[in-house]
Amino acid sequence: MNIGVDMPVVLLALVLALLPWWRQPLADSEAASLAMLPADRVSVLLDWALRALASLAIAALVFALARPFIGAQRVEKVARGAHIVLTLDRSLSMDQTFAGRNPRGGDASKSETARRLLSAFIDEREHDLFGVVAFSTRPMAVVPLSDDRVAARAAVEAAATPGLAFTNVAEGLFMALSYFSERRASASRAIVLISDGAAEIDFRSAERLRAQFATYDASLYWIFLRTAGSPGLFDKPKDARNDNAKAMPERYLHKFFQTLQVPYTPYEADNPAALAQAIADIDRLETQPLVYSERIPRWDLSGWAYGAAAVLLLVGVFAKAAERRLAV
Amino acid sequence: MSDSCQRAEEFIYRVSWPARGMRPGMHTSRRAGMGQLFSGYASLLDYPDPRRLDVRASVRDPFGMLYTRVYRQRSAINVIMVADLSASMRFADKQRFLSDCVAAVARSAHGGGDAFGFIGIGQGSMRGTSDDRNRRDAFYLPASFRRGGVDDLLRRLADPLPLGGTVDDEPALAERLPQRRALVFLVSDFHWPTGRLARILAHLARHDVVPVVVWDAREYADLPRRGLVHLVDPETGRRRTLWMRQALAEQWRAAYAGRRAELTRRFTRSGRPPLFAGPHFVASTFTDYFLRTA
Repeated sequence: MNIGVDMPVVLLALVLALLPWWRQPLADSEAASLAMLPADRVSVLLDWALRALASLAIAALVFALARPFIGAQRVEKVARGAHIVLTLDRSLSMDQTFAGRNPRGGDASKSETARRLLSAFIDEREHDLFGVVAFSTRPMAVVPLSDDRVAARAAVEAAATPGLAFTNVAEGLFMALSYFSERRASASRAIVLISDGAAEIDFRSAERLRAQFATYDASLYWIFLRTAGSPGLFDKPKDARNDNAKAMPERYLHKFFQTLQVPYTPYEADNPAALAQAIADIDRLETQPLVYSERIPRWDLSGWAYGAAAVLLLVGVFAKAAERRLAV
Repeated sequence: MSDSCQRAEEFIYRVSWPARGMRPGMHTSRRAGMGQLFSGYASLLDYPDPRRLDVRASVRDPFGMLYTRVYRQRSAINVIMVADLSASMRFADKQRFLSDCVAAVARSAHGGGDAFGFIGIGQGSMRGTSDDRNRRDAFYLPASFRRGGVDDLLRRLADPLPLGGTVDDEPALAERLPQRRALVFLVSDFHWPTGRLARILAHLARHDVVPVVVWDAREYADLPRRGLVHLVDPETGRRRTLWMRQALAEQWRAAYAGRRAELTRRFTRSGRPPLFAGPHFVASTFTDYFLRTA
């Protein structure tokens, strides 16, 4: 709790708070003689209180003008958990069901199912930091790594809206990795890639990915939402001629991930239950103690100071309204 | 005589002590002279006024001395008005009262053949000694039968009295009072610091003092019922904020009542009871006062 002000120079005007002790803003009535008047303790106390109130009001105004705040600060927090970046595929095919159709009636699309399960996942893991990246043709930084569950969940909810065009896995992963660059490596890092397809990764990107995964030491979970009938991660093509990245990008991406120097776990989910199983696995694996510092944004106090001044001044206005003069 | 003096009401005053002035006037005197009051016989040689030769007394005397009747003349006295010009007299119409009173006392005195003098005391001071003296001189009129000075004095009294505290001017008062016993109207609200009243009365001990207490109902009776009153003392400049309410107003009135009783006790002991003359000058109250007390 450290209170600061933006403009300390203004605080010099706090001297003005002494003014009420010199004069009161009440109209003078010239008396014949004060010595004749009875001593009145109540009046003395009231006078003192009014002066103090006026003094405080001026001080509050000056303080408000100096723009006070409770300072931004970093709070060290210890938690069990991980830094998890959810990397969501926002390609059009995610809006289809596991059966590869557009959802009808009670059917849930893949993105809808993912959304529901991920929301539950986020809610359960209280101590994790979540970041969300969405990608299709280009990656989108949706929510940076933070413990703000509401933001993370909102981002996941937003992923349920109809998707965009294609799948550019490499760009999405780059952005997900970039999230870790701002954080100390105090926790286990995980990237959860959720997609229903893959695309070829060119040689240059592949090398950069390899290097960055090594740098950040982030484990990778790929939840592959497999559409019924489409080729899986582990399928070998029947025809050897089809065994290339163009024809079977999922298989080749899987193979590429296996060559990374970091833990990699693929999940092939071809129905909601399998997806839930995959998420439960991640939940179990990523529970290392986690030390992280959190920035608490500074909190502007000038509104409160103005409010206090207003209340105090209101009392002063009442006092002024109660002012009477001797009938001379 | 000026307009204000012309318009001023006269009142009748009388004193119970014998006047000693040479100048003939209205007041009983011990001085032998042209009067109606028989005082005794004197030898024609001692009091060579053959018009007053008393045949019966001369015949009665076995030695054949001639006697004249000696009468007492009626003499003039000095009427001095000692007026409090302190800043507390700025309140309401007190200053107006003061000038009306000056005009009336001067007119009554001159009308009765007496000398009138004025001494202002307690004027607000700027703490400059020479200036104090000048300002005191401006409000000093030595006892005189001439009527001219009163106009100037009234003109000066029309200006608002200055704010500020009173310096110790009692010695100056003592210097300016006449030697011979005089009728002194001491006009003030008597809102004086402790001791000042006693010191001034000590200087006035030789004289016949009529204390005229000028209070205004507005300073103690017509108070605001409730609310905040911010008062400034014109002399000390001190401020007080009072929360007016029934109880305080009663205390306030009680304080004035107590002061009134104290002043009455004080002045009665030193000669005459005080004359509480309300906010406006009414000559008849003065006449009544002299009828009651003299």
